[in-house]
Amino acid sequence: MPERFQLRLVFPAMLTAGGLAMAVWRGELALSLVIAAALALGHLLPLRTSEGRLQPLSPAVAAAAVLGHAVAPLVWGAALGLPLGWVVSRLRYGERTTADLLPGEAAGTAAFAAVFAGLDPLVAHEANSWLDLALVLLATAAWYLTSIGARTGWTERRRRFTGNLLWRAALREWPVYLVLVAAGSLYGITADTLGLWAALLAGLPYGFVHLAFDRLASASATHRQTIRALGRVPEAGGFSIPGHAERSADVAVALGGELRLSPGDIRRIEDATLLADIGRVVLGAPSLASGGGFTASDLAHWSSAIIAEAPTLQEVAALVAESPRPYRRPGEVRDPGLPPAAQVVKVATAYDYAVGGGMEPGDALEVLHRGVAYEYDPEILAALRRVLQRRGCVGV
Amino acid sequence: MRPRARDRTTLPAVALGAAGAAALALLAVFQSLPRPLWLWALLAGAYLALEYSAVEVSDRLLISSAVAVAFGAALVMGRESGVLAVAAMAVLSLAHPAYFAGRRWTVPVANFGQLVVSTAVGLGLLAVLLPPGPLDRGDIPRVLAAAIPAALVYDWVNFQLVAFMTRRLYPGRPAQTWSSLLSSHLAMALLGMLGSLAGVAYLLGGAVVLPLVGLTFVAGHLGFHSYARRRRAHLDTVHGFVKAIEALDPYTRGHTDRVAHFVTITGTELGLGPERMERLHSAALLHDVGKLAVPAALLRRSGPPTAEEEAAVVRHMRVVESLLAEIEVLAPVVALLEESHRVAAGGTGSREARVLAAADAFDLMTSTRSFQAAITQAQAFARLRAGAGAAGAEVVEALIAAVTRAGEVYGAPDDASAAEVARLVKERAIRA
Repeated sequence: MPERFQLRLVFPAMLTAGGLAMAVWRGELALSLVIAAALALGHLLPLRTSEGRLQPLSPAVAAAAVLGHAVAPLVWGAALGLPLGWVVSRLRYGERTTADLLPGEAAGTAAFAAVFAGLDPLVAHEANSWLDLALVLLATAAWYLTSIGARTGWTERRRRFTGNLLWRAALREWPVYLVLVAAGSLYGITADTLGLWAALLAGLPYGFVHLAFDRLASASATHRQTIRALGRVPEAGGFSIPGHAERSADVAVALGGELRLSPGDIRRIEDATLLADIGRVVLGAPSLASGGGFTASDLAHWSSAIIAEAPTLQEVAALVAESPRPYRRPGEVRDPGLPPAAQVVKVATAYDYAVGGGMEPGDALEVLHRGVAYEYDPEILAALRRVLQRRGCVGV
Repeated sequence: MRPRARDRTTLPAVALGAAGAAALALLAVFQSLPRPLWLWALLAGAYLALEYSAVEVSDRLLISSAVAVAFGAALVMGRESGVLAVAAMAVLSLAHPAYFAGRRWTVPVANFGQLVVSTAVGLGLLAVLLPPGPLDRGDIPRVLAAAIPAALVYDWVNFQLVAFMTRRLYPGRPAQTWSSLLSSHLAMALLGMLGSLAGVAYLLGGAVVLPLVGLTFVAGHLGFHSYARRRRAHLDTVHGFVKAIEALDPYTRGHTDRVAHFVTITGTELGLGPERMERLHSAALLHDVGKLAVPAALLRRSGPPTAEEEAAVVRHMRVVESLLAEIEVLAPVVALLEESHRVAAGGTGSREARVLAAADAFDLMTSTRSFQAAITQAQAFARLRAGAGAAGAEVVEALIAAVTRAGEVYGAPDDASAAEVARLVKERAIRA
């Protein structure tokens, strides 16, 4: 049986069957079904992170379930509801967005339930809401780290970036978990005293957050789209190779991850690579390769001048301005002030020009190697080789 | 002579401040001091933080979430001291450092009066509508039902007081109508309900409720702040790029800003609503963005373009506009741009598109380009009127009235200068 089929269908089906059997055997079917329905619904109304990832409301449901009821029904409910949620989420948002959803949610819920069940007996004799809340926070921390680990491990096989980059990017999502667990805990803690009004108490502020995060994700996506659209302008004018901006930015991000640069640096590198050619709209020549009558420094100068007009892109403009600087000149020591990010932009752009000019990846790498230690940083070329190997490029 | 803005606001600010002080004095007589003090201080801190950081929840809808804290505090402090407790928080609003930095004493005084009066009226109504005696779970529907009218009244009074001050400060500016603020009222009603429910939850469930509500709410607040910042960054990016390209051509430098100015004053003259104005302003700033992809040599050439060159320019411009149309938020703006191109070519379009086409045409007539000299403003007005078919007489007259009312003069100063510049441009074109 193919591994893909096993992972996608057999594993979720076994999870569902197991959860159903346990809920019936323990006599907790009704409550488990309610939790399962809430989890599935939470997949239909996910919270969007600023990076655009969809986070189902499972942490909120889990916190509400353990504080309002008990751990066991959460486990049975999760076994039923998470596969169901994954299916509905997949139908609504597509395969690409939801590829790593089930492993992340299943691992996270398991860690949450294990930590809560393990620590709860220590404070069970105390009727103290603050202690319960502290337990839920600890369990959520376990969920958060386990879920990220499962998701990035799963994603690494499917995408083309290092696990380290994905892990560090995912770690920035903690506010989403905190908000979800706060909303769920609010319901769980007040359910006894307020009854069904507890749902409104938790729902109203959560709705405010949901709207805010949704707007933020949408504005972030728009900003990204704008940078990408502006990056494609030289191509639209016929001044650059079609698809150059997108391809070189993709390689630059992978290089940044390989070199363990910070997520902020990687974002700036991506923007700088996307916009590095914008100066061509002023210079107007088709490409550097065809001898357009201007140098890389001219292009960097004009691109940087245009980018600098946008107040929020000053650092990106500086990066583009630095990008033509050589790693070192013959007879000179290496320039310690040269930021690696600028070299990443330079390498990614040069590589794509070589490939866009019709070279095979191996040949393009070879061309870049001719300038190693003078024009290009050897460390960054080694990282480029690793990126290409990970992507299965032949002859690298 | 028109009185200065500061003079116009002094009297109403003093009147508002006095009304606030009177309301506060009355509350001090009829209500007791809030207890416990630490809880009041905690809630006051939250109230002020939210009051001074209103968030943009959607395009042009700014709300202050402090109303949720105000309603929560009113419930927690009880009928006997709740209104005074919140009104006292409003007094602290006078302590904002920005007021002292600007030495604009009228602003904090007016703000104090506006907040205290709104609070006294809105939360006074809440206190009247609340069920008597200690609250329990069964009272929740009645509390929520009381919170809705109280929040609406709070918002209505607040709106009227702000509108009163705005009218004094900017006499010619059209004020937003009550019905156009429906989203704001809905938001206020929800915030009032949330605050009241949180207050009841605190009374029945204990203090553990507060950090949970607070944390969720603050996260939403910060989310909206980041949203507004990101949105602004996005618009700045687009406008920055357009201006950078425009600056490369000495003949078109400032064109975008001028067209944006003309559409703003014309739109105001026509009484367009705030959202339509924002879309129009964005479209004006972007209306030449397509030139990014037009070869610079073609843009800077001497002499009028040939039909082939003009077609090439249009083709390049359309490619860039189609790229921008893929951006969700810019799609309506690009649609407006396309409409204005149709109007400029003699077709039909919406009123905004006609405003943009007329503003663009007016600036092109009154600016000197590599192949065309600027004409005088009177000549430009006459030409606009003569060719008003596409833009529409209403729009053209509005543009002319707005420019005239603003006392602004564009184009060549007189006929002699216009003729001289035209001669120079012609000679240059022949040499080229």
